[in-house]
Amino acid sequence: MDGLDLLKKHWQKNEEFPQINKEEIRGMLHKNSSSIVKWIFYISVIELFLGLALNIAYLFYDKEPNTEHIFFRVMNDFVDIATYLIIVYFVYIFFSQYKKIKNTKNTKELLNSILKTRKTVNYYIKFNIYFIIYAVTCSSISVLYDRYQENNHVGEIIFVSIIVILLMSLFAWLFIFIVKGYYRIIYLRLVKKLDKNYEQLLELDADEIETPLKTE
Amino acid sequence: MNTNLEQEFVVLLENNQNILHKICKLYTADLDAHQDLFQEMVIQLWKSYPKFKGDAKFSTWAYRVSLNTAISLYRGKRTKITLVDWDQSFANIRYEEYNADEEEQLKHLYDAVRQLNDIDKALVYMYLEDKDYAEISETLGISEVNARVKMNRIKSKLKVMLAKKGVV
Repeated sequence: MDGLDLLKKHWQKNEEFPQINKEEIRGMLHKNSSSIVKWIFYISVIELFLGLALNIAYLFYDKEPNTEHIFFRVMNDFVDIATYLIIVYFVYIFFSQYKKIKNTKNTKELLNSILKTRKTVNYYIKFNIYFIIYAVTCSSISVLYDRYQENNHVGEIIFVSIIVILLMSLFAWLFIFIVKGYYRIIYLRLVKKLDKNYEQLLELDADEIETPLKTE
Repeated sequence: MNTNLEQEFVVLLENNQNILHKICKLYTADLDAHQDLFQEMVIQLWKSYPKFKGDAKFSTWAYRVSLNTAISLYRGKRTKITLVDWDQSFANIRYEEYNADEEEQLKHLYDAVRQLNDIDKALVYMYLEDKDYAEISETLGISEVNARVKMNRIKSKLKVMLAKKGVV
């Protein structure tokens, strides 16, 4: 007998599992889910709010120096408004995608909707990284500009500029390094399984039929 | 959620719980993980029960949500402490009906199936449950032809796995 068919014969008779009674089932209904989606949701919400907090903090910090050139102030106002619009957009997309995650969908659609939701947050994090790098660059340039206004020694300006550029590159590199490390720790465990299973389904469907159709 | 709905669900689930146990058996290796996955399946089923309209059979709906839970939602237990020999505790009951060779073969078969990936396990589960390819393709979201081809490949893969162990 074919391997799987032997298992099938046994499988259909194998009903002797220790039975869970009604009370135990009732107890389970009120327990907390520990599903991957729930974890992704909580972590994502924290990240969305951290991003928001960061932007609000920047807004307050931002208003202090008023001696800057008009260009920097217009730029800042424009960036402030754009940033909030982008954050609202991300939050909206995140929640509407999260709502689409339904365990009654077919497996491929379910995996796809979870991974899409997660990707939105990934883009959001990337956006925040660029935002931080942008903010630091802007402050550095405006500091340099102010110094240039006060002091006309070209040699000193060049020296300070080089130091600032070096420090900023170091900062950007360190920052991206930390964020990547964080991702490896937090998400690899959560999303690895989903990615793998989704890939398998995609592969399965992309696979052109090499063998002629036959029913066993 | 109202108590009537809860009562209804609990009764249906109690009667259909073997569906969940069978999926757990393929996806977990020990009692602890089996119970853990079982519980997550119950939570997931309960979560979407208010939207279950009865246009499908409860059993069909239940196995689909349960498979999804095993494939997409379950995080898996970190610790793998086997308290009892899980296979033995379940399978022994029926083993006496088979001869010793079949007994041995079955044990190896279960081991081999557990080594398959999550998607392959789902296909095996539906094959063992005698679902047709239209249903398999609908459940996983792949084409019927590919479901059929994949199933044949899994069968060959299992044969090779068993042959390597010297069980054919």
